[in-house]
Amino acid sequence: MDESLLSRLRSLGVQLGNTPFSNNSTPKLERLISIEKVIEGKNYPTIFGDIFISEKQYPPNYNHGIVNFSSSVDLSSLIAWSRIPFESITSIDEFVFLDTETSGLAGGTGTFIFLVGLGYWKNGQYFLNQIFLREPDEEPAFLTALEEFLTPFKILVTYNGKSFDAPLLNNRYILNGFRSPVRNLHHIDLLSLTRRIWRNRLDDRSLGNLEHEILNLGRAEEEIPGWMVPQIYFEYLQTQNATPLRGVFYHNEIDILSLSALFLHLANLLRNPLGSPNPQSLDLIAIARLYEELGDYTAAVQLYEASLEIGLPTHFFIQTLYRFADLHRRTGKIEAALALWMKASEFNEVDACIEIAKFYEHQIKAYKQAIEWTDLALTYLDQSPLPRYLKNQRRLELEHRQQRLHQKHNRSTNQSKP
Amino acid sequence: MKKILDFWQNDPSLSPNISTIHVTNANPGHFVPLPEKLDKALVDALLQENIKALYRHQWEAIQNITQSKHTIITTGTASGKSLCYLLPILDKCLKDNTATSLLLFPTKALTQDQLNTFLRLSPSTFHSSIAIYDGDTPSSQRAKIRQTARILLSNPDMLHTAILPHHPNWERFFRGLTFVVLDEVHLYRGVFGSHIANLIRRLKRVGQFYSASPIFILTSATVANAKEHAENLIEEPFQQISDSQSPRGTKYFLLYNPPIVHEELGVRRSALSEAVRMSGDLIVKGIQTLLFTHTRKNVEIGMKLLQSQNPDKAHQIFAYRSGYLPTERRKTEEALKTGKAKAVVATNALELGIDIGGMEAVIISGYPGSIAATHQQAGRAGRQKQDSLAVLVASSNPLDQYILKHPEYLFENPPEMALINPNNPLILYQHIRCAVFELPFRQNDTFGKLPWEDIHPYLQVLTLNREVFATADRFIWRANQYPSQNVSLRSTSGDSFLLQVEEDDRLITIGELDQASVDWMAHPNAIYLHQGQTFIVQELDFEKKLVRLSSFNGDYYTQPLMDQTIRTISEEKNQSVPGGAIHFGEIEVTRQLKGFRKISWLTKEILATEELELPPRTMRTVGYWIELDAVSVQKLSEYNLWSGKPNNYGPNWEKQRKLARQRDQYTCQLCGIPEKGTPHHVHHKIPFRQFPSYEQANRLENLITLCPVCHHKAESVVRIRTGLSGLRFLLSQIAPLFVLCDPGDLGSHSDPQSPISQGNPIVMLYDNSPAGIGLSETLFEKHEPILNSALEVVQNCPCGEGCPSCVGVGGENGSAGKVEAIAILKILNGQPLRL
Repeated sequence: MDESLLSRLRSLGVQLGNTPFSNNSTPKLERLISIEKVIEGKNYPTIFGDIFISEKQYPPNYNHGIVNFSSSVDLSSLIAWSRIPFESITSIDEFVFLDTETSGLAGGTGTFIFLVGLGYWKNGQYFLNQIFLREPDEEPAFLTALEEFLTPFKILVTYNGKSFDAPLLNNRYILNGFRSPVRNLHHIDLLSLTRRIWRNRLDDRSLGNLEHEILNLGRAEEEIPGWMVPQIYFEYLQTQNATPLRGVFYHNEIDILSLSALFLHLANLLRNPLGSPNPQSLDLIAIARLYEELGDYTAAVQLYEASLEIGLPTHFFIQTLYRFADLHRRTGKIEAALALWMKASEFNEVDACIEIAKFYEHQIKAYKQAIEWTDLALTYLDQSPLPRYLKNQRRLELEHRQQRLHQKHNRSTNQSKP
Repeated sequence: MKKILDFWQNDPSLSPNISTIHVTNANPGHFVPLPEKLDKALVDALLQENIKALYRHQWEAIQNITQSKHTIITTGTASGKSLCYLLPILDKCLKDNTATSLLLFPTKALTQDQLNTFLRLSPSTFHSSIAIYDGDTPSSQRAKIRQTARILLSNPDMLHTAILPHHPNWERFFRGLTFVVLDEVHLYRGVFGSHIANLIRRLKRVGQFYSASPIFILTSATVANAKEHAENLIEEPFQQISDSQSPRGTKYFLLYNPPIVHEELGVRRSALSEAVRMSGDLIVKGIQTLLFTHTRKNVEIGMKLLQSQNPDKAHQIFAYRSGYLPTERRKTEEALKTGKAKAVVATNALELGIDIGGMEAVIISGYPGSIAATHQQAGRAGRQKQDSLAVLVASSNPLDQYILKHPEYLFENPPEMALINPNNPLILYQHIRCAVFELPFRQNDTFGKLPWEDIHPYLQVLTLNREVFATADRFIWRANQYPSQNVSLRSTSGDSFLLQVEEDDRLITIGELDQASVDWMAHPNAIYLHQGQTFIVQELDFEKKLVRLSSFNGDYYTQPLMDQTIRTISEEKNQSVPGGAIHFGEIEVTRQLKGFRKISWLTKEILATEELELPPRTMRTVGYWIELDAVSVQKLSEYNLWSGKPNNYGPNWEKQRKLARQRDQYTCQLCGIPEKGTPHHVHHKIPFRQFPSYEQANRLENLITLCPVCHHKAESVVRIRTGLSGLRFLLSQIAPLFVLCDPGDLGSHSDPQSPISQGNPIVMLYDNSPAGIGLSETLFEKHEPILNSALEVVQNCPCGEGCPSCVGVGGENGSAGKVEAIAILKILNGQPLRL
């Protein structure tokens, strides 16, 4: 060790941490506990050498929280949302559920993957494989094994994998001079779906919180928080004691089970939102929007109706009235839309009054009513808590509308006189 | 242009001050036809832009580049440097659809400018392959750029923090990497340049991973060692293209020395006020003028002056400097292009090749600190073939005065060298961290030209610090962070501070300051100027990196006062010279801002001095120091004994003298010898001149009784001290002529009884950045010419007892010490002292 460089850098002001430096980083032999003694697994041969793999099979009828892993599931709605061509998928056995544990959370070329877990169904039964990097130098074997395990599958399912796991895997393959197999797979990132569905109801849409709120599940004592994972791995590398890694394997396992369970749950929820005994109206309006985007207006209408019936917090209630009315307007059911705007106007809604005024002006040319509704809009505007400059701007628009309506009204009464 | 020259030459208050008129005759240029093998689409685009031929030097550069030779182009401003790389890049990319090129520009504005040029000169089918990738690129566009860009325009900071740490995303780009362009590399010097050299090592390392070994194309302003500088930056052999063959109009370059207004003090009229006056003349004649000045403060003062002297044009006069927000700057650039701005007062922030159209005239207030910068600023005048005018208005600064007496330095080969030190341990350490993150190191890997033996210790330190992990055959990154995010290319350490003003209950950010200048410019109660507005610093928050300002209406500005101690760590080189020895080695400098002065805008008098309590800052760096030996000290004190002239100490002197002797019991207070017949001397502890009145100077507390021998010693210490501090002032001003650096890049120190040389007097210049960047070492090598120039400056200076043009005024003891500094310089130049 070059002591002089160390002290030189220190004197130049480099912050060299508070950890006491010791040169005996060689582990004490009696504490050597290899991964094989901690996790049940086997050596999987590749052309770059053996790699450690743990394989687990779950009993038929396994339940993860409220989700049963053997019940039949209709994936069609979830796949429609994912925009993957439906014809290419024949069964749930073509999906692989993936989560990685890494040497750091920053991403970029300096971060590598030391544990990758893969969950999948085969003939109605659930399996989990975990591939582990005993030493960083095993990476070529690790990546080769992973590629071989991914081969039977068509669709990759992750949680936040589009911005984290997938780019990281691509990096590792490129850095080792390989082609990344991830690029051959369709990829469903459930995070973007859970964000949409639960954005109104849950502030925290992390997998851990969904597990708790949606799947109704708690973790065992072995669980270790994600941010501690890199530290535990490097300690293992230094000491060669694999015992603390048990918690990391557990963490990874539960993440994948929860991801798979969430996938089933979401597939059911999307396919049959009103099917649960106790449907959440906030979830229903989020799903309704999703159906609207997919062009399934019938389903959307049904969900909007149901959610209004069940009841919503005022803010969402009004928002839903507008959205639902807009859907009706776009599909040519203007009378139905009018009813909803009328409903909204009961909440002193300026925009609802304007929509109604427009209806009277353009649809049935009843200028007098249009003028009345515009007057009402002006009254509500004065009462609204909008900032002054916005109020002024909107007032100008309304006054302009008012003027135009009066002109039209006068013209029509003049024409009808003679 | 001739008209305004005649006008000035017929103005008796102006013409005697014009010391040189340097005329560069118009040159028709040397044209050669476009190379035959150029891509057809490219030729069409060129013809569309009316480019039917090349200048000879462009053709030569293109020949070099297409023969895969690394090339540096140093032809002047407006010589069509960009075409030299544009053509080979576009040609290659059009013929080979896997080839890619990376262009790095020092500023965002320049990048934008170059994009437009690229788009103009390429067929429209290729436009989607050219992209800017910088901090302003929306994240929605980034993925597409990574996948499709063939020509990428970016900056070093972006390569450092965004591209290299994610290089697998750029796999296609790196596999095709054929050309790398670095523009304006004379800016990549000192700390910044040392970072860039390491960034290039990282780029080449990543390139190698993808089997790419690109050709480097550099452009630079004229410096003495352009080729060597390129080779230090890139660590490859270079070809230099320097002979410009572009056509140009007649260029008049005036050197102007403001008249002396105070003979005794040698004080000249201020450069800025003369420059403003000349700019006013030009504006009146309808000539669009750019006025350059050094400091951000002077931009503000200059704009105020120019506006008040030309009230009817005030709305057409703009200011431009760093610290302004980009939107303000773009507005001013646009006003220049459209002609809406008649005059702009600017710092060197505008010196770079940002296209603002051709200026007709450029006035430079005060030598910009380097010959390279002078040419860059002057080059702003006279794009196209029209006649143009540039004026350098000298300040009282010694270097300005020296340049005015030696115009050949400006118009012939400059002595300045651009220096970098890529192996500065601090900088290298930071980049090895980044490099491990990008790709693991294996045994016997190299880093640029550094062999494994040199980088291995760094990897070991990083391993111990748990940032890197050593596996059986590699060093891999371990820490849970991006190293490059915390490494600033612009400084050895630290980030910038935001300047915030409270306005209508909201905090508005008006600019930023770097860590290095924040103490000096924005200490508590400092007066800070921005866009002509005056602010006072309310709070300097080191933790949040914020400076809180509020507007200020007072009539004074502030000047910081610094305390400094130096200790040597190791001496690496020494050499005896006439009169003593010179040394080079590692030192530790401790500085503390002790307080500040309030100085009246109007009278320049010191209104008050206030104390500050700021923590001391220690810096380890390298320095070059001159030591005077005992014989020289002896010679100087003999010489000084006879050279002084009697002082008039005021009407109460005889009385106070008696009282002092009486108090001290007629005994020398140093050696204890009592008076024998003749009275002992009475000495002013703090020199007489430093007091505003004789009553204060002659207070008994300031007097001490000394025997003639001890008095002589005391006096000569004072005189040597004065001479040394004068010499220190002079050397710190002259040295930048030999190393391309800003005056702030060098620190200085002097001590008549220095502990680092066993009590001998020293004068020291040191690198003002941690671990240094090679300035002091070069000064050590150039000791002789530097001392020659220094002696010449001070001997030729017409002032009486020292002035800002030579040894400064009122050094540390009230007397500037011109005579003493000359004596010291003569000894150091091996010349006899005549009594």
